[in-house]
Amino acid sequence: MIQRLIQILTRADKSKDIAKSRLKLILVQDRLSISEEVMQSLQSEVTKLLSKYFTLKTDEVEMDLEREGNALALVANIPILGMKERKSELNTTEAQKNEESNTKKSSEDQEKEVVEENNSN
Amino acid sequence: MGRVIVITSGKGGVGKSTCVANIGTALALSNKKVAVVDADIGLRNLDVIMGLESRVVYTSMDVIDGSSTLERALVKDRRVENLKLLAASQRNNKNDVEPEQMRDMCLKLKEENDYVLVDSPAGIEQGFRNAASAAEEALVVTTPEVSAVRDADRIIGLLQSEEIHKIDLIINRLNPTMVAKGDMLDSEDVLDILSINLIGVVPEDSNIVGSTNRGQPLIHDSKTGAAGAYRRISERIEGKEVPIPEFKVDGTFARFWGKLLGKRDGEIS
Repeated sequence: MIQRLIQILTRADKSKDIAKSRLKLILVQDRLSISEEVMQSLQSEVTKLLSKYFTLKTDEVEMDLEREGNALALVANIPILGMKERKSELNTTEAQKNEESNTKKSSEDQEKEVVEENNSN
Repeated sequence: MGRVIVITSGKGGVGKSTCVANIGTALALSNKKVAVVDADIGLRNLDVIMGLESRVVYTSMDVIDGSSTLERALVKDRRVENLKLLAASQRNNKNDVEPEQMRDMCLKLKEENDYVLVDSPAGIEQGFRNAASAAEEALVVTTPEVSAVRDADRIIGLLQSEEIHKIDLIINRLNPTMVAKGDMLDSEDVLDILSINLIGVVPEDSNIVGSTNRGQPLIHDSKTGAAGAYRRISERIEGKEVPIPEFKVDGTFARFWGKLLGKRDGEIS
C-alpha cells in the first residue's frame, strides 16, 4: 500500500519508459538478425584476421549474437593454440607493444565485443 | 494519373481498414476520385466497415479470372461522389492472386482515379506483397504498443526492399490520458524508434466502434476526434501543410466546459 503510494508519487516506473527501452532492444535484435551465410562469412573473415597473429583451433571457433543485459553482444569463442612469430618488418617498439597485447589476449579464451546500442539507430 | 498508396501495418487489428475507409472518404469529400481496394483476400473487411457489403456482386478475383470487367466490379459509395470500392473475394485465399495481377488492376484504377488506396492484409506474406506490388507510396499504421511498433519496423524494412521509399507513419489510437500518465508511448517515442515521417496521430475515439457498427465511416458524422485526425491526414496526403495538434488532457473543469461545447476528450480545437 505504502509502496504503491510511493510509486504513484515518484512515478519511477512509468510503463512507457519500460516499453521504449524494451522496444529499442528488440529492434536491435530484429534488425541485426543476420542470416546464417552472413554470420559464416563474418566468422571466416575474423578467423582469417586473427590467424595472422595466433594459431587457432579453427574448427572450434564459435560466434553468435547474444543479449547481454541492456545491450547486444557479439560473443566469440576462439580457442588459441599459440602465437605466430612476429613479422620481421615490425620495428622493436611496435613489436613489444604487440607482444604485450598478445599475451593479454592469449590469456583469455573468450573475447567479447559489445555492439553499442546506438547501432540500432 | 493518380497515386497508388498501400496502407499496411504488419500486425493485425491496429485499424488499417478503418484508416482506409475514413481517409478514402475524406479524399472523395474534397472532390478527388478515389478507389479503395481490399487486398485482404479470404478475410475481407473493408466492405463491411464502409457499409457496402450488401452491394458487392463481383470481386477482384472475378476481374482476374475474367468473369467481370473492372468497371463492373467497382461498388460506388452512394453517400459521396467519386468513391468506389473493389472488394476482395471471401472464398479464395491470398495465394490465388499473383503480384502482377494485382499490379495490373491497380495500374488500371490509377488511370481513372486520383487516388488508389490499397488495404493490405496483416502479415508479411504474399498478401502483403500483392498489396504492395503496385504502390509507389505507403502509409504504415501502428498503435503506440510494443508489438505493433515492432511489426511496423519490420514492415518498413520490407517496403524499402520492395523499392517503396515514400513511407509515412500513422499512429492510431493514441490515448492522451494514458500518455499523460506515462502509461503509453507518445508520438515522439514512436518516431524516435521508427525514424520515418509522421503524417498523422489519431486519438482513441469510442465513436469509431459505433460508426463501424453502422457501416458509416466516422468522417461523415463528425469533424472532431478521430474523424478530425483522418481529415487532416487526407489534407497532408494532398500536400497541404496542416500541423499535427498536440493532444492534451484537460482538467476536470476544462473537460466539463468542453462537454458543454460538444468537444471530446483529448482534443485541441
